[in-house]
Amino acid sequence: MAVENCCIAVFDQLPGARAAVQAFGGDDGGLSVVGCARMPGVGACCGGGGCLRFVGDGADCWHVLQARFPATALISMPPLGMVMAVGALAERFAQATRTVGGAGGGTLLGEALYRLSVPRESIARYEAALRAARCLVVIEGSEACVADAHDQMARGRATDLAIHLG
Amino acid sequence: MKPDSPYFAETLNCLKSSPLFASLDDALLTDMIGRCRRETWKRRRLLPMEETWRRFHILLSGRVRLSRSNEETGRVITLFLLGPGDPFCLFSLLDGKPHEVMLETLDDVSLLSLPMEQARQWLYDHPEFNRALLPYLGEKMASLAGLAADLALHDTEARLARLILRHVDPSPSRGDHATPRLINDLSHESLADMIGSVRVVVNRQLQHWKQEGIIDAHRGHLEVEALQELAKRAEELPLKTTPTSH
Repeated sequence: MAVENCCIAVFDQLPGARAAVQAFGGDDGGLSVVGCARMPGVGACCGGGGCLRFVGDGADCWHVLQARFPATALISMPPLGMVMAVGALAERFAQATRTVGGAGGGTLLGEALYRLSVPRESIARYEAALRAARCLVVIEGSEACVADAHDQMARGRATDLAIHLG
Repeated sequence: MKPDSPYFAETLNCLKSSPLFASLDDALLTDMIGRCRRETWKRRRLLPMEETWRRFHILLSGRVRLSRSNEETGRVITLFLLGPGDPFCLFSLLDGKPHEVMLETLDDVSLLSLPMEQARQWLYDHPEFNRALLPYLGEKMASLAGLAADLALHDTEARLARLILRHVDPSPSRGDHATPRLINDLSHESLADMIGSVRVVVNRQLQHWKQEGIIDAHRGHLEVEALQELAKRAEELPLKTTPTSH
């Protein structure tokens, strides 16, 4: 059965998100970090062997995150621009780009969040946060799992934190 | 929720518009919001109260219906229709027990949530909240008493008229016209659940009133065109004037 709940934490800066992820004691399987190429000093390119490499001042953070998760994605999502993701959502973005069909008029991120029970109004705010060079930590899972994730994320430096239940 | 959250200002404004929280000062509300977590629930989320009574919730947007049902007959009666600023479950806050109530979200809703023990402690620590709670509870009890009286004393037409009038704020500038709040886009079945009737009866009654020019209903939008005439159908002339969500 599809997981339909998530906890989303918004961080002003990637190091805050990285610290929250490193301190996270839950299951990594439902964990993702999403950022945007608008983040200052960060970019990405395809390195040798199809491996994604991040460049710029924030690259170290992304490389730390990349090492923790099996999937990384760099996808153009107008009007967000280049979106970078690691974790479960990166895997989902990669799958979505391989399948025929659109995202129902929204971005891939928006559709992925909608399936995790995030209301459209909140999706617009999360996308606005990405456009403002913030980043998201998304934890999907059961109701108990996202409640626990919320408590863990609350110890970090998130500027916004919410649970979305289906 | 932290004070620097982008949702903080609108949350504070929502609570200040709520009959329960409006009299509390900003510092107290800020403290309370700070103890809560923000949640959103999808539309049509159906939960027995046993799953939610351990947390105290305050609705920020959307509507939640609290109802009871008979599994054998499938009949449902809506006890409360909650809107922004309304908390649930007050009964569990008071007695610390679950109650046989079904909870359903009628829209995508956003809400504040905190453990029930913390809400109760907050109640003990802040007499001003306690003072605000008493009239609010009184209004809820009056609402339940009104429902019981309607079911026992009035026919379906009067019950439906009374339901609509309870959700109308008379505005002198609009004369005999009014737009009901909260119940406006509810299905006829949901309206029926609120007055102990069934969909076909409500549908027939609304069509009848429409032909008489008492209401105008199209695409789920309900407008009262003849407020005084509707009040007559309610079998009591005085219109409800105090704003209430129930």
